[in-house]
Amino acid sequence: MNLINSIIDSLLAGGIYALIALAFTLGVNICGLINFVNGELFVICIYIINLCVNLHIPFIFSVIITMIICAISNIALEFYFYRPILKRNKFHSLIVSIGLAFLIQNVFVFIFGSNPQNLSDAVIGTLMFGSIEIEYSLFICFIVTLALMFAVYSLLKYTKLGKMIRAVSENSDSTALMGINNDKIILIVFGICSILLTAAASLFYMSISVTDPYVGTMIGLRSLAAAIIGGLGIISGSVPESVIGAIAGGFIVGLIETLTRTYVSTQMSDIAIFLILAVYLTVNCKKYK
Amino acid sequence: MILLKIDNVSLTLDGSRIIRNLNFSVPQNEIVGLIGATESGKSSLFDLISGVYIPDEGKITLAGIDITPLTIEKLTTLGVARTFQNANFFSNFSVTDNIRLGFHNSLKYNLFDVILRTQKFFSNEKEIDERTNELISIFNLSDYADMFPNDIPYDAQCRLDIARAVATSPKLLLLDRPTGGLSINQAEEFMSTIEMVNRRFKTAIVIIENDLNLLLNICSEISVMEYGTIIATDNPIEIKNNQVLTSICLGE
Amino acid sequence: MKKNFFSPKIFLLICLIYVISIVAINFGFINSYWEGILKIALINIILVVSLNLATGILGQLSLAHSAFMAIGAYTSVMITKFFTASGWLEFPFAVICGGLVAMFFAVFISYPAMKIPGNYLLIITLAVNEIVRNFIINFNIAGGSTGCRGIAHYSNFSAVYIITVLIVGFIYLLIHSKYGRATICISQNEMLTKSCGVDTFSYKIATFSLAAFFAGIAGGLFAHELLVIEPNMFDYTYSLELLAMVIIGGLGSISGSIISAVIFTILPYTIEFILDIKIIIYLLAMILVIFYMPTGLFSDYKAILAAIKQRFLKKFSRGEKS
Repeated sequence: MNLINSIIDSLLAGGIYALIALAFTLGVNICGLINFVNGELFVICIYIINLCVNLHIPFIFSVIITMIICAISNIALEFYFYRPILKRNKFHSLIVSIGLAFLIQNVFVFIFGSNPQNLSDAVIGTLMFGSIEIEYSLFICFIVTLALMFAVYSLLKYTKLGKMIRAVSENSDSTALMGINNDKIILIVFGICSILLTAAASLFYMSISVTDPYVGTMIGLRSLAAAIIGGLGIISGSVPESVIGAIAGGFIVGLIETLTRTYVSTQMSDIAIFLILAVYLTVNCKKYK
Repeated sequence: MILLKIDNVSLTLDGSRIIRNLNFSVPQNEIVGLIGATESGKSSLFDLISGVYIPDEGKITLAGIDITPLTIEKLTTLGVARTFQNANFFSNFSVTDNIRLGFHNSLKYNLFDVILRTQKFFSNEKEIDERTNELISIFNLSDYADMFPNDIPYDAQCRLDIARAVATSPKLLLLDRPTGGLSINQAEEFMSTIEMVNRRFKTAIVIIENDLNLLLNICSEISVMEYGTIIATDNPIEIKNNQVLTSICLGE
Repeated sequence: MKKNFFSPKIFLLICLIYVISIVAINFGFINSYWEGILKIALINIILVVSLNLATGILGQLSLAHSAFMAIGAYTSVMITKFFTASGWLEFPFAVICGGLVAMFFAVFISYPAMKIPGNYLLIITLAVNEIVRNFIINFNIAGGSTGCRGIAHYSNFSAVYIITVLIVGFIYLLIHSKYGRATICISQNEMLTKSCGVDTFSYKIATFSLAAFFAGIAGGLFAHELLVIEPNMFDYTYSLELLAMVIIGGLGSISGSIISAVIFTILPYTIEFILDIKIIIYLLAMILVIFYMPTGLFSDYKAILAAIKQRFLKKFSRGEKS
């Protein structure tokens, strides 16, 4: 019973990690850059949703407003910061990425303070599955994550836009020669990433009652570990499959975290995740090119 | 005397059998050509010899030593050097420094010599400087010695590539389509450079080429590859006159 | 350019700075407050130059430097508190042990990351900071979250200065040798470097661990200077500041790192209001430098010296003209 409860509980963390991992994976596949700002955008989305809900805007509209703001920020980021640097030097782009992430975090803390914030309850209630009680918010989390996974997967596999995204991911020189506007495709992908981040933020908002601006770093880091376990860097060209990998990686990391927290201790959960990441990298080192 | 002997090797990558039961040998001090249609496994064979991949089965020996499981760097130390399609170089180093890196294993000093800056350190470095300058003049790169590789003409980049490979003091030099992108005159000139390398440095050379005519004059024998295995080995004139083989190479 | 490190000019300059500093300290021109700041500046020089070795020379972004420092600090403190031998004996031993433990830890975490091309090490180093901090707090190492007090004040100016000179000199000599050249090439084109006969995997691990070793030593010096340490001193903010110093000074440039470390150590104490937003300014400066001057602000010390000379000469010639 306890084990099943832990596994069900892990679906919440797993879902959040999965969505952010997918955002990372799409970002890396389209332009080769690990967008560390994803973690910070996630936190900012949570705060914006909180602000909107506190202003008595219905939850759904708060999420939509946040999605628009997040998309504009992410796209502006790509346009003004990443695009010029990526053209020049990939190593420098990594420095800009991580510098921006922590810059945004510290500016946010400077302006808004680092005190924990209470998040209003948006969704209350539980569902009963036989003898197992599941919180409503957890259920929504799982459904939303799977829905978004199918949505992105279908987009990439069956639509024309998806084909263009896959082409640009594999070989951006050829697509440019064929008349595809690479830059526009990259912006669209960053927009999709923003939707995923906002979804993750709303799931977080529904289920957790207290937060502070620093959660972005650790959640972002664990999502990145999830993306790598899901095959980032190994599965490159076949982008639809990497979607499944990222989501699976997210749920795996959520499971590891919850199980270690229940059966060992909270502090070991961090070490457990990165130990497994280290083992994964060592075992699979031949597959990376 | 046989320098390189490949016994019945096979390689499977990503599910497809790229090299099938391949037998190949390179005599010492000879220039050997390797031709075949595209995707017949020629570059993969080079990958196997130079250590990028390890064969699933079979054995590779160099001068009697089994080199099958060895890594790229170990093989370079043992005397196998390789160039890649499209000249490969360090873009932030000058032409001189690019070649000097090839001499890395000829520098015999250790950490103590570095820290204490002993006489051995300075004499080693000076010796390598001289050998680098020698190679620069041999390969006609003196005009470009202090320039960066991205700023020099393409045929000079190709010569830089082969100069760096020669700097590692190889017994066996693998050249993968060395004349790709060169004009006909430049290609013929490059072929005579290759011949010079073979004569002067006593290096066995294997050349992958698409143009059979370039190989006619300098190779002592040519092997034809198809679908991951060697289907014929003979002297160049016989290969050229064999209609079946030449049509295979053209992909018909 | 292969400049002999033992060239008389540089040797003289190092001795001169040392003599001036010692005289100034002993005769009270520099009070103990500023003496402490100078020592921190020297420790930061060690940290920035060693981080430059891992980031600028090897090309692997690392945010674990403050974690290595923490390991070095706590290890050395545990040794000096445990033993009651004379300072001359136990201080060098403790500091070196701190460095060695940091080095072994670095080998452990870099092993999986270095087998793979790409910058996966960055992600692992981000995690390492948190893990080391949590480890110290949860296993109550040397006081855990409440910190460790009453550390013996072993770091006097001479010791710190000499160790800094030795470390910077070591790194300089290493870079200007076959080892340094090979390491720089690994960061540019690893496959080609392998084809030149360089065992890139060993080089990557060795360089990174060496950088960690020096960071551990810096940690030991740091602990015995501040006399009080706690886990929150070694969070990833410090790693970020060090990274900013490296990049502003210039990736791969030792002189740039030295100048950058000194300026950014002394700056917060002269302009006190920036202490709150120190990290914001550093990160902003880092991003601006990467965009507009990627080789760094202070990397070309020859150009800076030449510019100063030119200005000087212009002044004289203008004087003559009039």
